[in-house]
Amino acid sequence: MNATGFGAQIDDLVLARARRGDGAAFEQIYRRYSRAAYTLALRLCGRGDLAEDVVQEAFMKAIEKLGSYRGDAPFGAWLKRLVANCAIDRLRLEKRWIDPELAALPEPHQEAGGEAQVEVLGLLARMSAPARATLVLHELEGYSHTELAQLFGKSESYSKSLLSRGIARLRGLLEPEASPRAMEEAR
Amino acid sequence: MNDWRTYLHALPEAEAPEALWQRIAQARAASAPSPRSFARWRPAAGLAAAVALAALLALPRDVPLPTTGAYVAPAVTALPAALDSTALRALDDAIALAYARDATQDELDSLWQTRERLLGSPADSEPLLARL
Repeated sequence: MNATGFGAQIDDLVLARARRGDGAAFEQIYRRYSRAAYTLALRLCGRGDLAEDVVQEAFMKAIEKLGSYRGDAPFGAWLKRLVANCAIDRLRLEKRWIDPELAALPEPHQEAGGEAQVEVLGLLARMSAPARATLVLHELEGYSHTELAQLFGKSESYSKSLLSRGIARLRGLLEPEASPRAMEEAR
Repeated sequence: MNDWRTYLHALPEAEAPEALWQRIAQARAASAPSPRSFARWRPAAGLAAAVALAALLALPRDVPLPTTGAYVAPAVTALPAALDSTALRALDDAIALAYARDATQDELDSLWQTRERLLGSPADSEPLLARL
């Protein structure tokens, strides 16, 4: 079975050509990974316009840094980290990286967007950016708490507490009667 | 659907808008050095490029590129086939309640380690990856 998304392979020769400024090679790289990059950016940012900016920035950085890519990780994994880093940086810049522990914050509402965006985000759109990012990166993209801690600039304990809250939040959205909070209140 | 992991893993992907590629291509073209600035260096640049290409093509394909450190594969992201979802659910409940009642760090660490064993994932101690 061919790997998809960031797991897809890219020929070393294409990378070498892209390093030398070959536009066709750069487009080949973009076509191979744009779907995975855009999906990840959309899930992290919660908005299509931010996701597009993040993907653009990530690919521009990829070309800029391609000379320093040494092949110690698969190219897709390297690119995925670029996308995630750009997304978190953008969320901070937009002041959307709001700590869910600040309980006074209102529930995040679903941003207006196209049908595809709504499907891709689903209930994630109703979560805070940090909780959404933790769920997506840990559960779907395989980030460890060590890596999340470094990405967020926080401790592993913070990452774990975010994941626990994110899981509880998502479960609460999926099955409100059976959420841990509901069970606790019922005792 | 009553399993949050199944829900997450079933979320669809999205194609990037075609207009995004046009934006990126234009941004790349705008940031590339102008042809005029290359004019004086073209002969030397061409010779250097030819030498570099010859060296690259002469490399055996299986020679590993220099590495800066061991690559640690990310945790498996696909749903494990035989995961005890009932046990995981109960454990996630216990973790959430532990945070809610301000449990000690030792207790939290113990619960998280149990969760990682249940998921069959390695201990969460991968070496730090430098931010790109």
